[in-house]
Amino acid sequence: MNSKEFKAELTSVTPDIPEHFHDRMEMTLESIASQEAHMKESTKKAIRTAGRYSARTILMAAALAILACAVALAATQWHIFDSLSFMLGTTPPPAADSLMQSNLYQDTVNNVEITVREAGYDGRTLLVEYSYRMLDVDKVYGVTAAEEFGEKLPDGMEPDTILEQLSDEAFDTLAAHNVGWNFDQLWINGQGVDMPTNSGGVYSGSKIPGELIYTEYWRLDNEGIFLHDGVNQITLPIGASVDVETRRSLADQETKMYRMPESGVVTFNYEVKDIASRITSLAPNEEKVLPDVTAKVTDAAFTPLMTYITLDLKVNPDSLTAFIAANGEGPKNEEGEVMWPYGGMDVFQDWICSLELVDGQGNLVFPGHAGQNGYGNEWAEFLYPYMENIPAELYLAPIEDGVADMSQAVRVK
Amino acid sequence: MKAELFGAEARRIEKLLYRVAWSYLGNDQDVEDAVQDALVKAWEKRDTLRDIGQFRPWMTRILTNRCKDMLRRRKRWSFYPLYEDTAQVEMPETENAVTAAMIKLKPELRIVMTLHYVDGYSVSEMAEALGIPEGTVKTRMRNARKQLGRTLLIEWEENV
Repeated sequence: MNSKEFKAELTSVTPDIPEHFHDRMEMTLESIASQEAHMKESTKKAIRTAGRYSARTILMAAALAILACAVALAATQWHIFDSLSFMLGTTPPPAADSLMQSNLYQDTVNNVEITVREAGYDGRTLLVEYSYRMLDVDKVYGVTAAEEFGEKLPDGMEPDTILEQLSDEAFDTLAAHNVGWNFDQLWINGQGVDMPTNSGGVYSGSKIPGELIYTEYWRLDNEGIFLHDGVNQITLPIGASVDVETRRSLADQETKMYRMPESGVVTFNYEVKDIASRITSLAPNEEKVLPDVTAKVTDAAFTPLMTYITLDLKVNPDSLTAFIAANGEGPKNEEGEVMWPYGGMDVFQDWICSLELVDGQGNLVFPGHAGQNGYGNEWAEFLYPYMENIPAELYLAPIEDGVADMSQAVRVK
Repeated sequence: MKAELFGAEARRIEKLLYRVAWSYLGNDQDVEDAVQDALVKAWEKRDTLRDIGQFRPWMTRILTNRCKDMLRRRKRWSFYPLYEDTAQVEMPETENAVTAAMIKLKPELRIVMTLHYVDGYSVSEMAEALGIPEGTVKTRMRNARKQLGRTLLIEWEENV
């Protein structure tokens, strides 16, 4: 061929600029312009971080840019706060930038790109957001608010907001790539850590084909594990599937956990910078004696990201006896056998579930936020967002019809 | 630099940004990610641009660096004998001979061929846009044509 023929052929196979590229570029530039209108020093970082990700982030940032700067900051800076707002609150605290780290790992296995996008640690909870992008899948798994709610959108929600939900099909498709959680544990600095109680996560798709986003949190403190100052190695079993034989060979009968496999795991570094000095810990231990239970707060920790409150509970033995006399020894199966015995939590669970954090005057510290985060026969935990200004007095008090009953309040501070 | 001016300058070179990113990354999703990242980074570092007239090469350099970062992270590299000191992106297979030949070029060669033959850039225009000397543009064009000429049996009619 000659030059002209080459030119014609090259022109024919070279793609024109796609519409979606133009749209994406426009959204980015509009977001920059909107952010400039509300520019603060900290917002500049939000733009930088928002730019790392998909159109999902930019869409959210553009939609929220007209609202208060703090809200726009929450939507654009760290995705973990968007996904876990039910736990962390809607506005990232001032310390978020110093605790959160991004772009920690990326690799491809079994045609799935795994990326550890964000991680944070507040001295107790490890938060991690990672994604799976199935490179051979065209389907978009993100469910928008418009798709879910139609015209009946919740107040303040934009139609193209991606919701925190994922279909069974999405999970099945990922599983078909032989990628995903291999073991019910993680490793911290090489040490196996059983899946801590009160851990959890939320999952969603995105606007990118084949992409799933996992936002998870692990209560390392519930396993007595605390990250040290400096670089910590975090290993998650979220890579390629490990076969049964290999799993068996890794089982440690003494610790009842698995040794770290050579493959199938994702390891990244997270650096802790003097977190201990940034936590305020209280141990009021002031007993509140009530008819059915004696309760006291044994631990109240105020970290740069969250507020943790632990209650110690002792059921009144007479109340338990009366409960058993009225309801039997425990719930029964079809054969009439007691599956488990009733305990203190069966007696006082309604009271536990009515408790919320209030100040000395009975005002809710976090209106609209439900802090109850699990309970048992002898304990209960409450979790709240970061508290910038800790009131002089704090209590857990039962709330009925929006009013706190301070006669049953348990002192926190 | 205000966002309005930044946006206007960026929009003027939209096609160039697409071409550069495509030359490195070869798929629309990565191209969009790279350009978005580069725009955000450029905005953050806008104070480093002293002369607005240099926006095009300045922006192109930021984008090129971002593309190279993404290639390194993706670890999709394979080595071709002709350029042992450089890694090539692993792109999808194709039946089109010109496309297949272009894929085998280093990204730096691919972009000058595309800008010249598809978008009509002259040597001086490419030098300015990419922020490289004219001599470098000519060298890259010569090398690209040499390689393509061998593969596609092209008789080049013009000299660079």
